[in-house]
Amino acid sequence: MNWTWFHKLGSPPTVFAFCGALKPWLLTLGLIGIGIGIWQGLFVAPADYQQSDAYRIIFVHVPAAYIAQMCYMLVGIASFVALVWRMKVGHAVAAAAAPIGASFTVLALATGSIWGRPMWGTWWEWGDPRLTSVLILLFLYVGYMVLRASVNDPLKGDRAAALLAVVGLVNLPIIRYSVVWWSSLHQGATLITEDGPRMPPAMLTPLLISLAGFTLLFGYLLASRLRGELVAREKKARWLRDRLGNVTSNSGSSQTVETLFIVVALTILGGYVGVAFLYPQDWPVLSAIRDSMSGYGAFVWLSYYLGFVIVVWNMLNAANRVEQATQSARRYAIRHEEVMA
Amino acid sequence: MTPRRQRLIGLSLVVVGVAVAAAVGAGAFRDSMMFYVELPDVVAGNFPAESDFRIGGLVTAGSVQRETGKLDVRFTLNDLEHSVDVVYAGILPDLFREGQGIIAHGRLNDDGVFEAHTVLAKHDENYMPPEVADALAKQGYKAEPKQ
Repeated sequence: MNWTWFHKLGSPPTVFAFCGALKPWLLTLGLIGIGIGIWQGLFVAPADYQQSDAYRIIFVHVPAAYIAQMCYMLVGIASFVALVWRMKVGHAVAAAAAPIGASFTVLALATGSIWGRPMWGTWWEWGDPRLTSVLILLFLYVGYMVLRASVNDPLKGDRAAALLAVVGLVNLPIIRYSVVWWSSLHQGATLITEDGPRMPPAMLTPLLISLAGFTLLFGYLLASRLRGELVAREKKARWLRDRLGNVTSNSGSSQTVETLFIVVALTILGGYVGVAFLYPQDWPVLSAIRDSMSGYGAFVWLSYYLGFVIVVWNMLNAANRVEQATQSARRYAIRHEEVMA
Repeated sequence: MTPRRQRLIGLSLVVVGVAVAAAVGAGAFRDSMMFYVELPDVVAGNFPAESDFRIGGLVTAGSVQRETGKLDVRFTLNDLEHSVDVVYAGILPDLFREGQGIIAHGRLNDDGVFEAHTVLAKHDENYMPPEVADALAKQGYKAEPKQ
């Protein structure tokens, strides 16, 4: 068997160029898909016979939960390959994917909780197997990131964290079958069942479009962050010095402060709106929004708002990481030239 | 054996080992995780007397009684063979209705009535528009959409 393609996947310059070429396509198609899926999910798809308009949270919740698990699969497999075949790019992929997966796990937990309050009658049920196993998924992501960051030697940090990531793969089938093996408040699978999706096409189509859009956006985020990781890890490599001029960079200053400002502003706005939603104040615009969606407006719009915040955070954070890594590599390249001269 | 193959086998063994440990642990949790008692056991008297536990079942059609001007509600849970009376004072979840699967958390009093402090509604995996549900009901089908 010819393994050339596999070895090319392990070559940082190839992966760097590949991600750069895919990025604009993934971003454009992803945003279009999310836009169409969410528009149809909110305004075109019919209401549910039991949950009325509250079910519309699934158009954010299901993609978030899917990405949370799919991304962990990627982290685990990339770590496995990196450990067994000593492939450096594997560690870079896992390190780039982990923060994205963690953020979507938070989104899945939050939107599920917002749905659970009106439908189940509780925000959170301790001991519920589905809820608990997804919470463990979040801890695995956080554990991976913290462990990697806490070891001084980057290579040892990578390997220790990769071992945790591989072991954590065991959690994925537990999440999938938690609703089958135990008595869980969470309902069973709707999309993948023996007799097909238990959902009519009018609801299924927007959900699948939204899923595809979020997956493509995830691809964009991963491609961006992976480029950042590669720049940070390979700043001493000659291939990178040759390309540093090609890496787009808009300003010389770090964007951290701006990012933080935007995220804090969005969070305060959301917190304010959320509190206003959930407690019965009679403010004109807010009560109109609250009464929309057959009275579930508070829950539905809060879920979509959180989805928006997570997407914005991811895009700013990815851009930020690339910028920081590029600046650092540039400084290294300049010092290198001075020494050589 | 090459070092690479050693790593491949070693790492695979670690994953399998953890999976087995998780399966054993999960199996041990199976009954106790939710302090969940099946309805036949409740009827037969096999339940923790001194602590709260959960029961689950369908809300019996026609059994829901509300006291006017109060939150108190009284209903019967059944699993098609056994039934248990439940009393609850609180706001019911929006999915609570007759025929719906629900979970009640509380304890059995001396009269054999389950005093719930929490009532949670369980949703099933079926989604459909109200018109379709009505049409199906008219034809005598229960809510179960087939594509």
